[in-house]
Amino acid sequence: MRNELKIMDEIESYLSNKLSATERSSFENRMLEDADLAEKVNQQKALTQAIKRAALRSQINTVAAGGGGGFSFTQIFLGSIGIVGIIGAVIYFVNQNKPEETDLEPSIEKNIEPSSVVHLSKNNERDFQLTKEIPETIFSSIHQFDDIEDKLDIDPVDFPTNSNQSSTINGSSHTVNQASDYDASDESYSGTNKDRKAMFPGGSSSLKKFIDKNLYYPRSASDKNIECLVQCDFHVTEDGLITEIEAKCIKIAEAGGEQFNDIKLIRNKKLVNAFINNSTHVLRSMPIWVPARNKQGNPVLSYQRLYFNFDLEKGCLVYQLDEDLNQD
Amino acid sequence: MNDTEIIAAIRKGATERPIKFLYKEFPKIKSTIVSHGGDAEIAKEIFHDSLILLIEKVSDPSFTLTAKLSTFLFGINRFLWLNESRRRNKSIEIEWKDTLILTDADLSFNNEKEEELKLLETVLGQIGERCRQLFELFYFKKQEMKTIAQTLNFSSVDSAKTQKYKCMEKAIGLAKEIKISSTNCELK
Repeated sequence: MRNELKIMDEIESYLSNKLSATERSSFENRMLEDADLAEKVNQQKALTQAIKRAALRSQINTVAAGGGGGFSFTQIFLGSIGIVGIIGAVIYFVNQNKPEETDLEPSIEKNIEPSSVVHLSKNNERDFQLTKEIPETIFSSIHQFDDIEDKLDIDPVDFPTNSNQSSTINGSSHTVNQASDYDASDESYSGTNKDRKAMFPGGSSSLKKFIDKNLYYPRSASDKNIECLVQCDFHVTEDGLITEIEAKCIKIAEAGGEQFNDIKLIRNKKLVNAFINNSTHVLRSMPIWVPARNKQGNPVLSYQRLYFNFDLEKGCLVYQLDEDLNQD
Repeated sequence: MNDTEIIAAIRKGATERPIKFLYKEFPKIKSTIVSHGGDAEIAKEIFHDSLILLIEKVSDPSFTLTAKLSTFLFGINRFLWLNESRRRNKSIEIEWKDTLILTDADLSFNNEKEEELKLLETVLGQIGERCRQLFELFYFKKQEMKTIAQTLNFSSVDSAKTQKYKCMEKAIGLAKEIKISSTNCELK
């Protein structure tokens, strides 16, 4: 062993209290005389502490990530529920004989075959056919969707251009409108009390416009007549950024039907996720908000809650109830 | 788990369950830090540091608990957040509920030492997987050199030991290098 390694070995025995009393005191005397040795001892001590910290930190991180080894009873229980849920979902999908659908990103069908559309626009079964042709997720705004339909009605012969148009409308619908469109915010706001809540730039009307343009009703859900209410909690930072989005589905049911029970919820986990994902996707793609201000007029971080109501008749609505979340 | 069980487990080196248990305090601490001008990111960082400090403190056999462990944890978090806000040149008077008022001396806390340890931790991330494993098994899991030599496929206990010291030399050398280069930057 090299000399340095020997010294390290000695230092380690000293640090881990493996030396006898006499050895210890002689070592400490050496440390007093030899500043170099003392420094080495300190370095090694710090290093071992850092090693322990690094290991602890990785352990903490696994706990933070919700992982962590070892199965507890509840985990096994939840796991088995999960397996039952998966089996249920598999059976369900086999029964439905449907291909897997992804709900987060709308799959856009660029070209509706002109011939078939011309055919069906002359046909009374058009409505039925159309619902088959529209992309996986549709506009929240039913009216806009009606527009396309109207155009088909007026001019079926000239359809190829219209089909392009409809595809471009569908295409643009998922491109996020840049903040510049909504920048017409009310910076000019002035009053005696400067304390104010955070808001979507341009207020609720432009929020509605934004939602109309960007929020989709998951088609896998609309096919099954399922409606949902999603509650999203998030922070609006001093800079107006949206962070810490927490979304949960607080109500899901067939149109006019009763709230789903737990088993139905598990079977429809995918739909629930589709609703939640669509909502959070819209939240994340929102332009910069106007941050809340305190009494001095300085921007502050605030907690916000939005409700996304997916309604088959009325389309998607977004509410911001007048709750004060900043108290807790 | 009650406080005495947690302390006993930590002293035995079984830190995982205590961490899980103490992590339940995180939401409360996070909201307190956020409402005092922090953000979620820094809250998490501070909380993780506080857990490490708590575990180090508790591992010391001379440590005796004077309040509830969660109160102590809150105290450490308050202390670390004050420290952090001072570093950010904000003077925020913190009113925390259910907490201890702790000082540097209570925690044997020293900013320079903490910086040094932070640096060493980053260095440890750069010295290679084998060294890291070796260190973790020996110093953290407190395994015998013999078992470590077997698990990590060293030809003998001695070669494992030599490897360990080489790793240490490497880590300390690297830390020194970084320190020198960073002071140079400051001088410029």
